[in-house]
Amino acid sequence: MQFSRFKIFWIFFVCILGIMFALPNFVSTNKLPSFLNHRFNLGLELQGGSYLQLFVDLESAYQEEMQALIPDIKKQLRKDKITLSEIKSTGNEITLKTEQFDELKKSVAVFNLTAVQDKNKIHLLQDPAKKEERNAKKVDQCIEVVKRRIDESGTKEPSIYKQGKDRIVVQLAGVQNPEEVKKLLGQTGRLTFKLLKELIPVESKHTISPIYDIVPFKEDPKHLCVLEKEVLLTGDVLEKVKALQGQALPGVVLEMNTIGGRKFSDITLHNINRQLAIVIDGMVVSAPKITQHIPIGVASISGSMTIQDATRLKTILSSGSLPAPLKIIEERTVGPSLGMDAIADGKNAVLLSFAFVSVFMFAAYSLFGLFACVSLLFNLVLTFAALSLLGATLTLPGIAGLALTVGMAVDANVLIYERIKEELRHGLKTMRAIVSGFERSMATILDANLTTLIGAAALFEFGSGSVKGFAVTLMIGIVISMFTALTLTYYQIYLYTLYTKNRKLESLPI
Amino acid sequence: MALLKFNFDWSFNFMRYKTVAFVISAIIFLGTLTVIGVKGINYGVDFKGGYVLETRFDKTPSLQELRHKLEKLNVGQVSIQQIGASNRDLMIKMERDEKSKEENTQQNLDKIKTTLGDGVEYRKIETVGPKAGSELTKMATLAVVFALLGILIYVAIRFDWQYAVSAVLTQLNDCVAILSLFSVFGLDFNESAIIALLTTAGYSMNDTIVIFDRIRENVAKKSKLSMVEIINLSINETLSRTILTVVATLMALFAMYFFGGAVIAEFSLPIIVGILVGTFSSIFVSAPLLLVFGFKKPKSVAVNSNAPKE
Repeated sequence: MQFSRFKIFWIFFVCILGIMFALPNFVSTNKLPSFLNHRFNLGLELQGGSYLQLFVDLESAYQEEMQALIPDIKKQLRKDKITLSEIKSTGNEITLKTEQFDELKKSVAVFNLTAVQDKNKIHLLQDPAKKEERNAKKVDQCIEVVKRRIDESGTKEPSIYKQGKDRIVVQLAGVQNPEEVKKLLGQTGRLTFKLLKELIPVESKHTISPIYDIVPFKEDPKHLCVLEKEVLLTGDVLEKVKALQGQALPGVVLEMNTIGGRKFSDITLHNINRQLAIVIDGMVVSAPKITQHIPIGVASISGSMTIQDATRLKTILSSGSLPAPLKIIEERTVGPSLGMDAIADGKNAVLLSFAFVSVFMFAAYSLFGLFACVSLLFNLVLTFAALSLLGATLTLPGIAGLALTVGMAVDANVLIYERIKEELRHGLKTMRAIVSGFERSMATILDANLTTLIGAAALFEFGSGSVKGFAVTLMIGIVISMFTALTLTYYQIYLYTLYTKNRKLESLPI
Repeated sequence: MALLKFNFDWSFNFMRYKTVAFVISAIIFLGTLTVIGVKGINYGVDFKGGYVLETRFDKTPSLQELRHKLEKLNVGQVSIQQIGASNRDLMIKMERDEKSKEENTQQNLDKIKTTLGDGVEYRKIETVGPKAGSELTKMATLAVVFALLGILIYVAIRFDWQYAVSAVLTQLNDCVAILSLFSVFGLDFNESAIIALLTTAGYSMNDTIVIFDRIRENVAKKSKLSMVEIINLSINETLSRTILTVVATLMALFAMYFFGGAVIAEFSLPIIVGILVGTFSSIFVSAPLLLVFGFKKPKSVAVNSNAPKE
């Protein structure tokens, strides 16, 4: 049995580094040098907070998009002299009737649509590959908007990421009541300016010509607004949105960019004495009368809202509109008291499982059992250090994984010790038995741990949230247990043999 | 000297019980499938969607009254459970009704909160959509399939294909046995159940590999023995390790079960059962399976039989 200086150096190096990096998690000082200042994060169920899973409703955004294309398609077809007998959007596609299929095919290429003929009808569809690409882009844009909105609402350190193809996960540490955030994300924030034709009572049975849109009116729920279809301005022209505070009526001021200002100037010049409807997400929020030409691009929305509403509206409008509506499909909120209980429970679980296993190991192997306990302790320390360095998130299942690795980590030691005992029984001398015990159990330990590692890796790859947290601690624990058993335990036994060198080593304390 | 003395020269004839073991495994396997077929698995809120609330009441609430009131809301199936030592802490679960619309989530939650009244601290609120649940099923299936596939390939390379197939079949057997626990006792099958299932599978695989490893070694070393004798010898040689490791792991799990709080306890119970099942199956099922798949000692070893390596 020989330990080179180099090897001894490495053992000490790893163990000391482990202690250094594990320690910051348990002291609450900020005076640490920056290279040491790594801590693992606590999962939401441990520190309290809210978890929201949002579903990006790409289908409805897509349907809306197709619907909106119809006027443009009509215009284009008129230009290309193609006569239509019927056009409508049905779900995911636009169906129309025409005799000139070949011409139509060329004509709609501008819109990135493919035409498919089916009996006497023609279906216009988006290329699936392109649709996929556009959807992915939309989800990314949604994440950007969600980030801006949450940042502006003053929530600290939100964690926002994409999950799967059409999911966004928002984690808000410490937030106990996610209502405000939910309201911020519940609105698409699509702003348009349209001209108002008239107001009609909600009960009105008159049929309105389909060239107009009928939209509810926020200031007056008893009436509906009849709007001209043409969109005069959209939220794209906004440069800055301010909340009106300290005024009699809370509201927001919209400042437009140069292009928007020019258009707004034109609109107000040509439509004096008409009402301009400001529509947000299918609801007219305000419909002021144009009393004079406004040469600069500034409009305001006020009335029928509280200060909170105004602040929220400001956040929503200034962060841009969501390219697709979001639906909250999962929500988990953990209060701080439960979190603290969970941490206490987790600590108990880890410490007591360590204590139980230690007592058992000592009972089974006496001094060599204590060596195994020291290795086990370092197994925990190094796992904490690794979690800190990775900036991993410790979840409740993660703590459970930790307690479990305590149990499994002794397996490597048990394997080695049983092997040593076996070699002794076969009549080997103590030193030979130790060396042979370690060497022969190496392959077993490697195979057994690698298979568990493969399972944990699959769990990590396909798992989500807390399952991933569990898999991470398990994987780290397994790798470290191999180091501690094969190196650290070995080194301790080596030191023991050095210490007892002078005496004749007849038997081992095993 | 160690306090626990093991009699290491075990020589049980494990292989004699292989038929019994196979029959027991087959009964568990078929029994579980029947029970699941008849009774189904109690998919928790994680899978079905619904609401989970952990509440702390100011005063001890009447469970019956509460249940009655909540059932009237028609939101979904109500289950109320006391957690921890205090009888003021309740875990209220309401499985989403199939009819209940997804859009009503917020209103439903508000209704539940109003019903519970004032003087309640909400320690945890979860609302889960059924979509998220179906994703979990997919995730779990993928994780299990790929874990088993990975292990199959690894063992086939390091050992032999018979070892790989036997190990994976034993794993499947263990997984099914744990499922029966969930089905028979109607435990919630949720995310932590999946973790428990996979942990057990991993542990049992560990056990199986240790025995296989010894069989592989003995096949190379002791060519005079028959396969049955080699398997028996290998299991006996590793038996003390098997027992010590099981006890050590159970020690850790008991600590988790008794002192780790409700969530960790819920998680550790199936693992405790699973580890016992896994130990049984790696001894009595996995090794005999090798023979079923016709594993024979390689010829090259047989040729060298007159020149033992030791």
